[in-house]
Amino acid sequence: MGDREIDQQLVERAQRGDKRAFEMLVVKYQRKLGRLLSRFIRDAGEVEDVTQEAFIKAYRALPSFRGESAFYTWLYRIGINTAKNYLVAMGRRAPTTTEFDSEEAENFDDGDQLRDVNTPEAELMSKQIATTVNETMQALPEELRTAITLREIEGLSYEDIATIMNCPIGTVRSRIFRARETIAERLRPLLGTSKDKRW
Amino acid sequence: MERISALMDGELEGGDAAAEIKRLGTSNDHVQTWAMYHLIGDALRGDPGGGVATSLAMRERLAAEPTILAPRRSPLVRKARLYALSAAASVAGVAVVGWLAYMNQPGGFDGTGPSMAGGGAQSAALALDESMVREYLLAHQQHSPSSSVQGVATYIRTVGMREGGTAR
Amino acid sequence: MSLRHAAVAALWVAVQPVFGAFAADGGLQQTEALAWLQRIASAARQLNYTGVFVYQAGEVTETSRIVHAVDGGVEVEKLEALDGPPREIIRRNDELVTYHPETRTVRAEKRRGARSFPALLPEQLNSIAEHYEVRKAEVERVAGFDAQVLLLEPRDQYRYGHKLWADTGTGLLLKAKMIGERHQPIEQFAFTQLAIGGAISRKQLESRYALEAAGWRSERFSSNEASVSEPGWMIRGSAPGFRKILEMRRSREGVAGGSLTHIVFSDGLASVSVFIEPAVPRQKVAEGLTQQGAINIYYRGLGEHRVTVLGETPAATVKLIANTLAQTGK
Repeated sequence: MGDREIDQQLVERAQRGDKRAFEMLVVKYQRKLGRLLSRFIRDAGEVEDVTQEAFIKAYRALPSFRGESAFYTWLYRIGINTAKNYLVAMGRRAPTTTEFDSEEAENFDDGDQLRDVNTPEAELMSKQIATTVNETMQALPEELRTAITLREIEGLSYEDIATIMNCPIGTVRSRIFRARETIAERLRPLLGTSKDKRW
Repeated sequence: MERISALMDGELEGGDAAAEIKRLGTSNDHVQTWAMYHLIGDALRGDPGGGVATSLAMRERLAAEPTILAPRRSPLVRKARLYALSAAASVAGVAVVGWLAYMNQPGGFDGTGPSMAGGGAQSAALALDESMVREYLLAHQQHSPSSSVQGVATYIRTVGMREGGTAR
Repeated sequence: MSLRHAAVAALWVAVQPVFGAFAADGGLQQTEALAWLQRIASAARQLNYTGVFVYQAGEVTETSRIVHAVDGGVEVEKLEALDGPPREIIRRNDELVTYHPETRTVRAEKRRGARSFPALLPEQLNSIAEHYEVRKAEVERVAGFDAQVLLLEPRDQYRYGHKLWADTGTGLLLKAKMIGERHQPIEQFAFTQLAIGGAISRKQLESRYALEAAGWRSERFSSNEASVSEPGWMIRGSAPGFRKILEMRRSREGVAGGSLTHIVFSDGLASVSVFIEPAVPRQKVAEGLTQQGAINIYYRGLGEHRVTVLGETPAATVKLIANTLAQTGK
């Protein structure tokens, strides 16, 4: 089942009262939406607020989402409008429509890192996460590292990865999972010591 | 947990994926794992973000929202139409249920519909105009004495009507 | 819990009358029940409360948030749509402002009529008692509150039945159902979350669109009321229980020479509006019956006029009123 179908399923569950399903969508797209909005809003703290606001608006508008477009496309529009309104309410210039209304803009990922989150704790956390992930990656057995890199950075399907690594799809699936779990194990204590343990 | 990993990559088959999504909703731990794996992906792409804090604030806001419940959508109810009943059928007492397209939808109103059971020639005369009906409804609601008792229901009954509604 | 539900279910299933046989001690029951209606009518206007409610009619479901407060004699209310296209309505006493961000429209209007009067007028209560059998039923729970159930059973087939749930503490209406001739629910409204009392901040009563709406399209709906002493129309024949309570002329924006006569007939609870306007010469006026949610609409031509009759009543009622309408002096 492809990515779009998964999103559609999560949306449908959320529409029937399953808030966790919506949370999963938030988790999946929050960085992507944040990166998008940071192109118009400079302050990272504000970006975070506006991103949250956009997700809440999306949640409320969910009953009227009919699956005619991909979920992220729909979310993208809500994000843009939320950012526009925010800028107008703050008395700042809202970007002209041509800057971000095109189809391509929505998929354009300029790879810019989100500007550093501005509270010292959040910034520290961000750096620690990055360091831990990188260190763990270096220490991974090569086949695990390759598998997860091909998946997360190159965005390849299991089938393509299987072809490249010359192994069965089941092995690809297992390697990616093991890579994730190894990194997760190193991250859990780190995240568990943050202010609020409960997610 | 391996299934969560496969699910997020879009690599679980139809029925399995549906079952897995359902299973994930049953516990916060599962959602945490989903979140953790996504965090790892984001970090690998150079964007670790604020980690836990972001998600926690979001979860709290979401928890504060009234749970939305969109009734299952019938595939047949796509665009609302207003059916104007021909004179013959109305004499026969056939009531027609129709919904006005949402008031401000441009070009969304179709004033004539198929003739209903009971036959009768399609009336070529002017049927109800959408904006007129909206005006009437608003005017009616302004002066409805039941608004004393039923309060907000009368607002929603008229002011709040929208396209097609969400079908049960 | 299940016993009570069974009892309520039994009330629904009874064939005639709508709410089932009921041992009554007549007069006192009715008086008490009518007093409850009075409480309901004033509670909504006098209390501070915030909540979320769901309105259903046919296939339409609408969830909204409401904040209501009274401050120094001014009643302020904010209504916010929680699903579908975003909308907000802010009311201060009888001035209403509606925000439609999707179409970037803001609409202002003045609501006269019922809201200007204190709760329910005595003649209104009398009229209700005349056309509905009003009695108390049991106490149920709605949105975390104990609610007194009130039943308003129509005495004939020209009006719908009502079931109301009122907070036992304050009288605030928590839930209401309008029931049709075949015992089918026509519309229902119910709070799913509610907090009564407490202070309400100014911010809670402001529209989030107030700032940006300055740049939106602005509409104003106005009406002029002509005095009832120059009546032009009346119902000849019987539309039992419906008396004319208002007649006025309304001007219509953007319509050249457009003026509309609006007459309201009521039985104290349900009302039927009749709109009369000049027909376009030489154009045949269609005749028909349609429905918009809980409201039946009937339209026809009458002489040189076009008549539209609508109300939250069974179809038979709007048709009867439309068909027995006559100009006075003719």
